[in-house]
Amino acid sequence: MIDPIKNYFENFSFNVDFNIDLEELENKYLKFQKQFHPDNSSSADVEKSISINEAYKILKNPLQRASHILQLNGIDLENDTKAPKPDMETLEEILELQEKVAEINAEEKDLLKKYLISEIKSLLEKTAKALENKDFTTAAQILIRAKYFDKTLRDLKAKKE
Amino acid sequence: MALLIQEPISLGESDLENQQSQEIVIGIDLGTTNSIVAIIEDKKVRFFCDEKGRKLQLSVVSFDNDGKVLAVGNEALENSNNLQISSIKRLMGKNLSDISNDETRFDFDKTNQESLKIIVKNYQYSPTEISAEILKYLKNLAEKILNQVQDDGRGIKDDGRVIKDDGMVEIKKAVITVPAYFDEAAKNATKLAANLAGLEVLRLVNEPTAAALAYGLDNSSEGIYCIYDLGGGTFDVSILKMQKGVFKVLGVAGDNALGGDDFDDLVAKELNVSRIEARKIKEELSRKEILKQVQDDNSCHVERSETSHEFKEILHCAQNDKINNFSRQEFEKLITNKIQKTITLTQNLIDDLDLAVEEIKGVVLVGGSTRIPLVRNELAKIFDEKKVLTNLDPDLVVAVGAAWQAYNLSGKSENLLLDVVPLSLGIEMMGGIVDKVIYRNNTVPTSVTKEFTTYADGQTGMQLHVVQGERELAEDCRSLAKFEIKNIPAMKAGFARIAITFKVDADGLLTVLAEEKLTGEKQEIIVKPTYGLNENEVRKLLLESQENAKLDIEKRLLAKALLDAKKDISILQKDLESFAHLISDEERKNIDEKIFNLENLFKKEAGRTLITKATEELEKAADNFILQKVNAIVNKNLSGKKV
Repeated sequence: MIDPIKNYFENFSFNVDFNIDLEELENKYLKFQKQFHPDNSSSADVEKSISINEAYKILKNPLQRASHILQLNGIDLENDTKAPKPDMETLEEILELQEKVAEINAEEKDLLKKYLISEIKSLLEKTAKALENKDFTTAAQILIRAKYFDKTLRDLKAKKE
Repeated sequence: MALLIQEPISLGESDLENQQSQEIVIGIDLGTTNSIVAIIEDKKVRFFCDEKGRKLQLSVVSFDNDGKVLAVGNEALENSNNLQISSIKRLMGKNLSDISNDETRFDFDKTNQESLKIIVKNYQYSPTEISAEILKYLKNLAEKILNQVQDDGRGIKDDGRVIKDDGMVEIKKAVITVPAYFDEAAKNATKLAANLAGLEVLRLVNEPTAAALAYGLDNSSEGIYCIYDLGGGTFDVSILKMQKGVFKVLGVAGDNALGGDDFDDLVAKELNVSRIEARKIKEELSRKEILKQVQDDNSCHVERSETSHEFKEILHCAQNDKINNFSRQEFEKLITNKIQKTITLTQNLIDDLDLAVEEIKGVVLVGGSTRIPLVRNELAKIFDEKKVLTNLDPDLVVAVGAAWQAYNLSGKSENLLLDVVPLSLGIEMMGGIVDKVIYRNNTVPTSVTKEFTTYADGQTGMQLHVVQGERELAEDCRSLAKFEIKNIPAMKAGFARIAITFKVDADGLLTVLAEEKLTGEKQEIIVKPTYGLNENEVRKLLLESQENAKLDIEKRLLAKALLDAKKDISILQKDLESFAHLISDEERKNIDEKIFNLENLFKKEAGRTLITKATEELEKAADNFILQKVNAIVNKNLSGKKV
């Protein structure tokens, strides 16, 4: 009774690869929506329109794209309780960052934001390399860290005066 | 009809095709203060104006002393002694418990907890019903004007629109704009109001999205744009990406209870004047500034000269130093907190979407309140001043977009709108915490499935509470629906697997599907939030609207009878001049008499039967003359042709 995992790359005829052509993704997305969106009476297909929206959202975001590649390779960070856990070092760092976010002032906010963004970027580059080498366990470890940083960034952005 | 001899209207094949596939879809901007109805004709927007040529129809309904609806639109204000309801949009989809204490404009039925009712003398109206009156007015306005065009003698519109057998255009479909931040209840209430007015809603379009559509199509723009929409009652901000004929909404934010009405209230309170006077003062202060700008750069023109005149009148009557000396600075000080809130919402949205201000190519201004100079100045502070686009009339741009989307949806265009879910949708979990199933700013249509499980051994039922909003606790969100999943097979806690699917269609309306994975037991719930109307009331209203539809049919038949009679008269009178030699004095006298009778009936506003009968009499009296005329024409043709 387990639902098969959808391969979102297939929606756009891409190979399962972290380095996809984002412009091509955008073009194909627009083309398909013009074809299948319910507003287009002649060739509308709501289910296709929905799945294209979903696939586009996942592939467009590098964190979700990496996560999806891991999922296709048997590591489900979202739903599987047996998936790798962050190491102690990461957890401690995140806790510290969270505390910082909780009592941050406007000046520090911008600095922290920049730091988090550059951290996430470099972690994603490392994830991409690990994925390329089919070293999924390492990729998962790095990605978890990136995800925690991303969550912290979202929390920071949500903190509005 | 024997009387009419007209050129046969030639219909090419393509015209016939059009007649089958085309049906008029009107675009409606249903605003808090003003409403507008428009269509696209020959790729250009055409507004339907009232008798005085006004594009903007006031969203006001007036009532007689008994509490019955008297007039709608600009007419509703003409007799200011009557009871009026304005800004009803602010109450759409609300319950009594949603109404804040400072909403003192209306007398609500406090005994009715289930649905919101406004007491008007001996009658009670829900906001949906009031809104339906406005929509009905707009629909009739468009129909009336489209039918006038046909009355002008061409018979059938040259673009081949569907015309009913009786020759009258009937509008059944519409695209209606709603604030992006309208919740499910308000959207559903708007749809219901349209149904009550006899309109099927092809699409509810978010107002800022409509504005973007209008701007993008008018200027063939590509790139990322911000739409800042500050109307009478609501504030919306949207960021859109326009590319290759696709308008993709990246994100929306806003405040459902912030708009020009609030500024009026603040001014009214400060100066101790009425809200209408306060609005005039506000408009005048903004106008002065625009006038100054015009003097600085001659590129734009000012329309609202009448305001100045009315304003002076108010000042004259008031003779109040406080009003006379009320300056723009003081006005801005009053509203600065409110404006700042809109600016913060705009900045936060840009930030949330991981965009930089530099990536935004322009800010499109929508809504009358964007005429306030403070708004423009504050926006110029975040964006470049050149990026604040003012070349579209902020009062009309939403209606233009609505008309374009109506055009798009009648299959006439290649453009596509991709909109988003404005508010997150979720389920209340144990402990009152919300588990979000669909996050805000997801592109529609969309569908997300999440699995839930039982928390007690042997549990066979599950209460689901669907909520909408961004807050963590269900009690802080808007409650959309509650339902129960039954027949879950009894098993240990945590073993049952209930898949809950949230599906949001292109209108942004939600359906919830629950499926027990082991047994395959399915339940589908179309989420119908409380509109401020319960099921029975809805049924009653729909019945009433059907009865009204009968009345409307009678009205149409009368209009048709009048049209036929007038056509007969005009053709006859022309013929009587051209073919005077064919008629005897006696016959002539008889025909003139019958025409006189008919015209008398027009004056007396007689009923349909009388008019039809008198028309038939006229036709009978003219029978012989017509025959003579036809013979004369035919003989003339023959003599010229030399058979």
